[in-house]
Amino acid sequence: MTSHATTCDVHGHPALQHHFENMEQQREAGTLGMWVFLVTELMFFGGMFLAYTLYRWMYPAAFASASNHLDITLGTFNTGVLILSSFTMALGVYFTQIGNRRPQILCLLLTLLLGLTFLGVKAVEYHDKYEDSLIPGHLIPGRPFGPAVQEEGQPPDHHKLHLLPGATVKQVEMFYWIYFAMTGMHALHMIIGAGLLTFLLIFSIKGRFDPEYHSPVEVIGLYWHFVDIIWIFLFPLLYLLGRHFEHG
Amino acid sequence: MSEHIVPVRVYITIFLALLVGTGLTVAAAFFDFPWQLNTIVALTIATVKATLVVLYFMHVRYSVRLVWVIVASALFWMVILFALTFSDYRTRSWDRDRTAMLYSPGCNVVSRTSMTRLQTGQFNRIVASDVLMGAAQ
Repeated sequence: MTSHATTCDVHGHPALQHHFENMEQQREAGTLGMWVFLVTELMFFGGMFLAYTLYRWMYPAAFASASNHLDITLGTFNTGVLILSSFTMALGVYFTQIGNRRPQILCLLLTLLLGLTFLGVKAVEYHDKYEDSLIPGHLIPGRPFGPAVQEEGQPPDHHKLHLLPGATVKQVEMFYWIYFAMTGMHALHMIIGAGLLTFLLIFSIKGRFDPEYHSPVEVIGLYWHFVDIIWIFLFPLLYLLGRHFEHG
Repeated sequence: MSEHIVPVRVYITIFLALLVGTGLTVAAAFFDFPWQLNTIVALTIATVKATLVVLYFMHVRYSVRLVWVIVASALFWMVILFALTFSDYRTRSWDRDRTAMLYSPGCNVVSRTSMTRLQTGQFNRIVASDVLMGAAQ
């Protein structure tokens, strides 16, 4: 551990910035900074959760109908993928803390691959929505929001929207606005996280981190866990809300 | 180095707990609880999972008090956002133009009635009254 310097010589760890007394203080400051940023991210997503809550309160039948139309298998799989990626990220931080470079690089790589898997599944889901004309408004030129509705007496069609009593297509469109806004923002955060992880991997391979200095790994870990937490809430709210009406 | 290193077995335990929580929340979603309990159950499980991630994966349990304060302030802010916004919406009078509302495309009274009846299992008996109230068929 460094002690107070009385000369202008380079002292302590090469990554120690001059305005910090020691590495521990520097590390804490970096962690605090990331936490404050995560608070702003919570404010960002909090507004969208509020919009979801409001419209769900206003249009419960439509929200349940629209939610039932989402693919629960893909959603659950994605949740498992993200939780596993949080685990590998935590392990990546752990191995960096104890200075084991090879497991560290492996864990960061696994985290990145799992994140990309999540994005791939999301792309499949978005494509399914495109196929069923569920992309809201006129976002897709030539393919406005206009899902086929399941009629009584017709054979059940997986691609058709089954409306619960009291639900209208307009209200279902509101659900999909919120769905795409929230999962789209979440996916954008995942893409940014994947980019950050790529940087981490490059620097890890180059050997830039050691048990004394690995703030970027910890701090990007915090970001990744936060994105996971957002999904932990998004999943039941978007995918699971109307399932108990399915056989009702 | 003075930072706390969380042992791997803690991470493994939390990871397994998160998987169990996910399975629970999916299973509970298909089970019909009375009243609004489905939502409460789902949100409770999600909150527990998020708490585990914050405390252990994000190391807040082993962090300085200042980090706890920052996390608490974020949650406090969310509480204000929801409490104040919904105290506004919930104290608005929707029923002033009730008759006109019932026939409007964005009618929320019909869907709320339907949902309540779905939840209490009265569904088969309400078709006629819903038609009279202007529900989509």
